[in-house]
Amino acid sequence: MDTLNAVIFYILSAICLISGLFCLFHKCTFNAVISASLLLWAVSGLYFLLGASFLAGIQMLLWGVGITIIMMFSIIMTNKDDKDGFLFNLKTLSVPLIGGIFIFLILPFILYQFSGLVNLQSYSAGDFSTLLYKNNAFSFELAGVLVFCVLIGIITILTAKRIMKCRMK
Amino acid sequence: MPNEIISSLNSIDWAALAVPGLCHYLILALIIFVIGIMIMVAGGNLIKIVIGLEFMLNAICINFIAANSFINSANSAINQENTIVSANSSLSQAASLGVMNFTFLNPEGQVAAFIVTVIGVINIAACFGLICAIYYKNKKVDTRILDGLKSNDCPELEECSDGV
Repeated sequence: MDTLNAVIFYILSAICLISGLFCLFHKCTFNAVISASLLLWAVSGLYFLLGASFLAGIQMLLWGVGITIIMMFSIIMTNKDDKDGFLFNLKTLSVPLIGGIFIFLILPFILYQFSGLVNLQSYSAGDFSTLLYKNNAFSFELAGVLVFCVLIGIITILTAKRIMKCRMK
Repeated sequence: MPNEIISSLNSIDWAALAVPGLCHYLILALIIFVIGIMIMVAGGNLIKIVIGLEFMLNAICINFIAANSFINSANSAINQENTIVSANSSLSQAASLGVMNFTFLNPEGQVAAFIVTVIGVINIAACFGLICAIYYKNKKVDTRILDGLKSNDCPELEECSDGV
């Protein structure tokens, strides 16, 4: 099982590095976003290998799904005049597709090594939340306040033009 | 001299070195961090700059969790004094069964990674809101058009401007 862990670690690391380099050198923004999303999913696999299953789930939800959707929406809303366009061909999407299929196939193998999977999940969520709310409550509350302030700021920035027009009328 | 190098190379246990340890995760996080910096520096597109920031934050989280898993283990002297896990918790049962490779009792590294993740997601969501606002004003997301604070009185800038 240690050999399997080592093999999976090196494959996930290779996926991270290749997708990072692909994101760095490719000109098309959409393909860069797809490769970045692939890296985020590979990092969640690394979290599983390190025994942080709760954080791996958070990584998948927040970074792999949430931020990817935000990035794609921002590209859609800001990329109307892009002359390069979306390069949907096999050459540019082959690496992300293969990496994505591999990640979805190996995640069950990673989880399979934990025979007491239910116990581990209950530990990871219960003790983690105890430590979060008991010893780090202030930083957690501060993060919540920061979320609130950022939301107000974003709404204000995006609707400032409309507010100015209404006031001028 | 070459014989000494060869003998030293032969004395290294390459099989044990290939087993992923803390160094491997730290090196991987370092490489991802450097790639993020390069994307931020080289990306002329605002969206790619935010992607570089994402890479850097993920590298930080990998560092925290790897340090928590390899250093902050049950065998360390620090955690044998301070433990938050009760005797009836599922962790003690799992550790007694020998299921896990990592038996950490104090996941403070994971808490730090969680806070970094949450704040990073907030930051990136705010960045994309700003990118949309910039696009609505300038109709482009290229970094070269954002020169509103550029001073035209500086002689060094005039020499290097090249019409950009």
